[in-house]
Amino acid sequence: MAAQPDEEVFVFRTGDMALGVLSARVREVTRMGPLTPLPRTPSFVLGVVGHRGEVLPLIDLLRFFGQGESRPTSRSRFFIGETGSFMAAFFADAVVGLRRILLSDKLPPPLGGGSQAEFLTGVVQSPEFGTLNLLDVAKVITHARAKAVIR
Amino acid sequence: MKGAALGATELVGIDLVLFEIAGSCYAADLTQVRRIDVDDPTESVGAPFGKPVVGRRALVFGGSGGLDLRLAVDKVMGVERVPFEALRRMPPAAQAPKATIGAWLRGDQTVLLIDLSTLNPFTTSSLEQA
Repeated sequence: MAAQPDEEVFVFRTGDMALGVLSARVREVTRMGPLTPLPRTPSFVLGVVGHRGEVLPLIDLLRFFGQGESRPTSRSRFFIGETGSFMAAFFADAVVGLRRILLSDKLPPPLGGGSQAEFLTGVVQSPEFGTLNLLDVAKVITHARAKAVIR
Repeated sequence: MKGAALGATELVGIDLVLFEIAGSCYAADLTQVRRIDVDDPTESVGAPFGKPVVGRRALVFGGSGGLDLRLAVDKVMGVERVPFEALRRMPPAAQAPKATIGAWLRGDQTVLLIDLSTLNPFTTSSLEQA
């Protein structure tokens, strides 16, 4: 019996949401370092962090989706998502780890799911997470960059 | 020969004034700062980086037409010679204000670099609208 096509996702939680990102888009997961707030930026940009010689914007997906706001603590983590040569750090309340999902289990983002659905590649219903939202990291970074150009 | 070697060393760094506003640390090119003065609220370029909370100091720098402009700050921590390799551009997705031209990686701390010359009353207004 042939193996069913699947993909590997990095799963994390922020607020009440379980989110998954294609593991190929995740460069690294690390502890929160000192955060430098940036004045007069959109609320979803918590600031910048220095990491391995790079300065990265730290994005709060809860604020990005209008679902509340994250509260960074010393126990928080962030993961570094990348698209092409652009990178950004994303805040995570808790890191779950890597999981494999069957492509046949992947459903389209819910219609009427608000602005959130625009940045999802799909959702998966699972006993472990309930609804696992599959985040299109590249689209989030591109959106944030586009807003920066407009400014 | 020794003098020439010292000259080459001087080119690899920049003197930055380190200051604090509203709990955040910033730095600016020392050559842009004419003097450090007591804050005069009536002459400040405003509060593009938040309002100072405890200090009564101002960085005085040259605006267009050679006029003295003031940026109110909480405190001035001093001047540090910083190697160019410790400086970084701001990532585009950070959407930093125009005056924030980069960052200085100071150990594990990221210090925002401010171009004082962009802080005239006109650009300050546009920052505050952003």
